[in-house]
Amino acid sequence: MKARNLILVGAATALFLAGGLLAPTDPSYPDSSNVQTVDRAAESIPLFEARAALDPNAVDLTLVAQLYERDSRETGDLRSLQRAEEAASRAIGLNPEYAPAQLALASAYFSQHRFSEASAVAQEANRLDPKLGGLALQADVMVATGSYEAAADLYERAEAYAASPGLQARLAYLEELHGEVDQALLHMKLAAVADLGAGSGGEQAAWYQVRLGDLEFVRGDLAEADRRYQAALVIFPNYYIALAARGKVAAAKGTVSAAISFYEQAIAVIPRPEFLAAVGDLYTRNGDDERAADSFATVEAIASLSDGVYDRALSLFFSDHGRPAEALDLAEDGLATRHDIYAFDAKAWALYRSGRHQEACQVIEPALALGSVDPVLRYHAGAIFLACDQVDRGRAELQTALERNPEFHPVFAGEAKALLQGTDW
Amino acid sequence: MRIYIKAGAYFLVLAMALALGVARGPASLKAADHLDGPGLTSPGGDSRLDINDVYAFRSAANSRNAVMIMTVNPAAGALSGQKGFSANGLYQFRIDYNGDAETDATVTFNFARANAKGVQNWTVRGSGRLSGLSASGHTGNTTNLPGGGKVKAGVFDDPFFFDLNNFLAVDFSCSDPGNFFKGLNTNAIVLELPRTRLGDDKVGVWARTLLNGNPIDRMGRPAINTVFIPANIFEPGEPSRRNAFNATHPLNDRRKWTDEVTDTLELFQTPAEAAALAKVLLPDILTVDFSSSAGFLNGRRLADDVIDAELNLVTKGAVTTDCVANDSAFKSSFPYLAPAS
Repeated sequence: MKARNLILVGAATALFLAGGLLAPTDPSYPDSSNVQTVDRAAESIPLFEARAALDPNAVDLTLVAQLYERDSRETGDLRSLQRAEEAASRAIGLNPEYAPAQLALASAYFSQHRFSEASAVAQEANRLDPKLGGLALQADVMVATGSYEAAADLYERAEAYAASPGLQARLAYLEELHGEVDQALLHMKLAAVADLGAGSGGEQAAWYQVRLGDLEFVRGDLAEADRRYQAALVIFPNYYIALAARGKVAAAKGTVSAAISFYEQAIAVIPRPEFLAAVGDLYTRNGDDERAADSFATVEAIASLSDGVYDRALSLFFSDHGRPAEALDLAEDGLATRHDIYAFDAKAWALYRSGRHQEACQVIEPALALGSVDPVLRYHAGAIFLACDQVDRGRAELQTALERNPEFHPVFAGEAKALLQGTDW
Repeated sequence: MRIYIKAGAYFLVLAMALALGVARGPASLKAADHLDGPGLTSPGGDSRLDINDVYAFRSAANSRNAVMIMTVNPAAGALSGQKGFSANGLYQFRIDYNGDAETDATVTFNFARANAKGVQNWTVRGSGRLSGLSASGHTGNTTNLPGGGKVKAGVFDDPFFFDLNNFLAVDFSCSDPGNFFKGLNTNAIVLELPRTRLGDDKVGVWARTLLNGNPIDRMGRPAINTVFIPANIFEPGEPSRRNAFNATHPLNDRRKWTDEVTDTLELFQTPAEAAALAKVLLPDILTVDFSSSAGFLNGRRLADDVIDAELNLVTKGAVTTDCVANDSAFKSSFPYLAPAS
């Protein structure tokens, strides 16, 4: 890790000298010279499905699985993951020794939050071909389930096989989880530069811009965050994640109508529960209770169709909308299989909303263990500690939540400020 | 080297494992993506710069002309979504006139971004012994070169043929053979030059792609990198050496890569035989005598069954065929490749 950081610091210095990290010439921004046109996976799926139908074989079926996996990223449609799983399973049935088929199946499991299955199949893929990416996918599972140190070790091993922007991005995410936001931002920029330099485009290149925007948002630079999200939309129009992210920025700026518009555009692409919950909150803030109720009703409907993928988002939604018992059930189910910081956060928040403050104070501790400065997580911690009469700690957490981005959330930022004022003396 | 065989490909090594009774895991295609992050594709992961195959033969329609073809972009980008030719990269035919592996002439193509209809303008320039060559055109059309010759760049039927699935399943029984590449397209640059313009008939040809001045892929003879250069998949901790091979100038091939080639060959050959064969296979340059209409190992014609030839060669006859033959309807005249499906 140290050697890698030295290299990255050197590269960052070069990047800074080349144009300044925040300057318009920042090479981590896409422009007409470095971003490529990439067709959507949906355009190629019929070709390979037809080939696999005509002559069922492991390679074509694996290609179908890989294309559906990419399609799920591009569209947000979880049904594509089921199709990826089905195609990969058929490929493995025809040739169990075909490592790419194993990895495609592992990836489909992972994206459906079936972590133990993903890990087992990724291990098999890794056994068949250690350079294929199974190692990194195993590490992804570890991050998703809270084994952070083991994940970091595996990423390092995977990097030894094939350093790539994707791995750099994953390491940057680990830094973000540990509260090293500036470091994470720097490394994400380097990853984006490398990705663009390799001829990236489409959803993949847009994803890097969104991640950069998210880090800028945490840092409180709303203008820069929005520039990143706009850049993502130029590369990949109607990118639902970037549209919702622009809604988040607009809400933080207090332009509620614009925020609603962005969220509705994202929902028109794919009605993800977290988008619906966010727009519902904004309708509430605008006094439009009818539309808010419609959005909230849809949250549950969509989540119920998603085989648990959105259980955590649904738990938080229930916690914040007067249904703490259901929130707690979901959070406890989640903790049965995952021990990442957000699993503890969800349970602690459900306990807090249930009035079980002392338990919440215990459960929130592991969520803070890494040092994440995620403002929503810190707000939760602040509110919980105050409820346990740990006033100093609670105030410190709320101040941390508001420190970088005083408008981090359309509802929670105001509540954090109110709680701080309420404890002011 | 097409990604079907390249990314973890070890290809004939599997056949060797079969023959040795130590069947191992099969080849990979590409790293997969997942929802929480982009794919673990390599920095050189632009499929448009991925060389599939290189061909060099005397024109059957006009024996006074030499033909060089470079196919790139597996499945013409249907898998990666990256269509056409890279607007940031360079595509080169490199020609050695005297067998010293030095580049004596280079023909470099670069492409502009595609217009709304997917058409890309291109320019070509020669250097060294072909320094007078200069022209421009656009994909899909045939362009006559000032001074003689013609070029066509675009999408064609992929001429390669190989029973990938049965190979991966370690099945050489020929009970149900099938050409995996049937019906798949590829991007290609077809360059035809009067032999007089080329200067000499006996030359060596190889193709190279570059991105921002950095070498991305290279190829001369079929599958040298994928067959002989280890991805080291059975040696965790040992990185793949294929990118290093791609970055090597053929001039240094014998010095840098002979050991790797003989390591593989010695699975079937005596050390002396392997050493002799390695000298033929390296440097990775496709040698051709354009005065002859013969095919592989004299250059490579579109219908030459290079897989069978290499299986035979490498396994010393232990595996003789993948049981598939060409099924493309090649044209008898320029641009020779079959139309895209």
